[in-house]
Amino acid sequence: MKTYDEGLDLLDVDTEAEEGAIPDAEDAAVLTVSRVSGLYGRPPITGPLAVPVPLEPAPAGVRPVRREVVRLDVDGRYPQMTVSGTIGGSLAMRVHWIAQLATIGTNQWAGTIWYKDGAAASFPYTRVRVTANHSRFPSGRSVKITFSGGGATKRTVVYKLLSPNFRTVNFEFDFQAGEVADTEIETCAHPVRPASLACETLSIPKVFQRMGCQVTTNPSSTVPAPPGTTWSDTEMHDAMQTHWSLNASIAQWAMWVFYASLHESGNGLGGIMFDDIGPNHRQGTALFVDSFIAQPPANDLNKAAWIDRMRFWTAVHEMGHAFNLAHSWQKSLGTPWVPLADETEARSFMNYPYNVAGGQAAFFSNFEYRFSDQELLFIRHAPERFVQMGNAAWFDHHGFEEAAAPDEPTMKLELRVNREQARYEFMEPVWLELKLTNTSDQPRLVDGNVLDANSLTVILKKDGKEARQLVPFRQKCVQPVTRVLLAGESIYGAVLASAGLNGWDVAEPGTYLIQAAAHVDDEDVVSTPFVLRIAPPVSREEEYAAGDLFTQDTARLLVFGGSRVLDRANDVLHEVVERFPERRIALHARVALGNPLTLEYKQLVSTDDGLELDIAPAQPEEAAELIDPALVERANLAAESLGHIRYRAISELVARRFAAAGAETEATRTIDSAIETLDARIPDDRPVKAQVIEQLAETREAVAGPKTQTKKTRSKARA
Amino acid sequence: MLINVALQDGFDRDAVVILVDGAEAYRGEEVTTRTQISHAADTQLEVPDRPFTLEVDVPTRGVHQTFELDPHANPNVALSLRDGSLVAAYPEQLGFA
Repeated sequence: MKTYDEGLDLLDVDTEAEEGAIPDAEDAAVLTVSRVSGLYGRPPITGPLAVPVPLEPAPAGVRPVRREVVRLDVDGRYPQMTVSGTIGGSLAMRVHWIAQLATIGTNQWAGTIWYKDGAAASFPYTRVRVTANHSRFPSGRSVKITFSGGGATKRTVVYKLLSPNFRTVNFEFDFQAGEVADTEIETCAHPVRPASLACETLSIPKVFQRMGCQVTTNPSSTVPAPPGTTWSDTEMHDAMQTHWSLNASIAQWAMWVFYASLHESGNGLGGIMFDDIGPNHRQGTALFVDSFIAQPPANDLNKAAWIDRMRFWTAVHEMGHAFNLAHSWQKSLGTPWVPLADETEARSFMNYPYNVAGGQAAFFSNFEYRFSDQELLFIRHAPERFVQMGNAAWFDHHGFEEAAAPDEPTMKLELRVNREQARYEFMEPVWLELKLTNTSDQPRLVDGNVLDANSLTVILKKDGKEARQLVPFRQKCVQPVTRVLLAGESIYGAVLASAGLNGWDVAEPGTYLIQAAAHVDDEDVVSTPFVLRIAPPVSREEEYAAGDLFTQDTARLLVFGGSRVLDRANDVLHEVVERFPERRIALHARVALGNPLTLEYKQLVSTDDGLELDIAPAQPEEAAELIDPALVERANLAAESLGHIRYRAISELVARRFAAAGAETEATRTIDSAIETLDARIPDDRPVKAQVIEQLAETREAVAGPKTQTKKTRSKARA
Repeated sequence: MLINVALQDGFDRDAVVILVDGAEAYRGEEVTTRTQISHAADTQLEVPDRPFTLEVDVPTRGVHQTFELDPHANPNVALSLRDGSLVAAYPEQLGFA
């Protein structure tokens, strides 16, 4: 592995030099020994978790909960006069901030914090004052930052230099057999160039080194393919999985750069960041060395140099996309991380040379082989998850990379459904089940509420759309219930993924990628991505009905098990039952409509004398007319659509309420149906645990007396 | 003579119809931009060897716009949908990356 970095290790032979760093003599001269920009950090802060985050050290001896780094960017190449910081910890506690700086003295800067991301409420500060302590030796360098404003007591922290680079990234350049192109260029080879441009041999790693990245490269390999082979995106993705030595389905600071002949779409495509496939985007890029970028204008003064430069530009351009940089004219489109202005005339790697006024000759006359300032700000200072390859999906800014996942996880979180394939009918609510397992060989203490919707972080991503975070309707404020999870033991939960306070995020036809994180102590236990598909509507009637169904109130009925008050939403569900009786949404609607009729329903009503409690009697017969066709007559389908956990919970709840209302027959029918149905179901070779069947049998005894059913159940056989 | 027309940013499963001097010259369905190459579709159109009218209809957006073009001055036309209207650019070359 080869390493390129900013070369401050010239002063510290004990660090990077030993790892094969290749200091760049000229860059070192540019940097000079007075440079202070770089990445600084402090040891983990100790202290118990609390809200808001205590920002000062807690008593020693308590285990670390947070790490903290800052990036000071005031000198060296292309200084952005910015300082940014990240206070680490679990997803729920992380804060990222950015401040613009002005010089106020020698090695002193001050400015306003203009960006906060994450748990901003725990970080009230609005201003920073930065003092750099320069030392001849990197190990002695530090910065002192005083945070103030926001009504908070001033906070002063000293950070020690960790690296002169803001990021560390690995590149692997692989080549289609027979294709040859350099990853470096002679900057003065072509006569059309800025007069002030330094003549040098510039490599791709050096370009990114100047952006503030320490770059390492892997040895190149050859991708065997016959001459003239053209490539589809899928084929390149497959090649990446086969040939990239770091290929993995994770977010990592690494990318694969493939030098191929041509894309299947023809010679009009010079390169592409093809990797918007699967859950980890932006890890693979390609350039097509035989495309239009190898076709110089007929009158060009140095055709060979023109081709070299276009190939070099294309490679870096595609790699810029892998850092999640948009084209220069697209900055305001999509979901920019902060409001951005388009840069149609920028002399940046992210602009098309032939798009600017005056064309490519005008572009290269002023091109200094760099990215624009707002692109540098993004690369150096945006929250890591927006930038890192394999993290936030291409063109949007959400992801899980910054989860505080331990190197050797001791917990595992699974998302799953109780059906052979994760395919849903249009309008069918998506209930996902979660299984959290202690995979260590030691007992673990967990909060019994850890899988409640409001305790989880759930990210929902529809193909082609930005990711959204599920915001559940219910925010419970409960005392933690500590539970011992023995080695190998699991706890389970269910969450409605379809809708929340954000609206119906999983409803339109298409493919969705869903990922969840459970927060156990200071760790984020992140699930593997789960993919599901929602089918298109089968009729125009369904399409029209969806407009009424996909509202906040109907979603509340589905989550909370109905209401006797939300009349409009109840009307919608009644209509669904009548018009679409065979569709799965009808099962959910029946449960939501019938459930509130199973109990005495208390409602505060306004009268002339003030508020009075109005109690409507239970209506078990009417309730059974609604519920039986779902939970009893189509019990197997209900178990599949509601999910086993939800189906069981609803069945037990309804049965107990029927019994309380004196409707023992209805209670018995409901619970017997649940026992028989769940005992027989084995989706995905996972039978329902015998313990669940036994608990249901206990419920039956409680609501209806001894069981009279004679059918032998599978649970007995298992027991 | 031929001109090159590219549909670039802002298209999402759109129908696009292009007319040259009132005659349909291109029809695309489900036209969708791949943002990383700013490309949704491209075509070559046979146009008169003189200034002509290029009409672009995007019925899925209720957009209809007309551009007066000189094919000698603007042999490359890049069309993007931005803020509900079509924006035309005339780059030196049409190539994507």
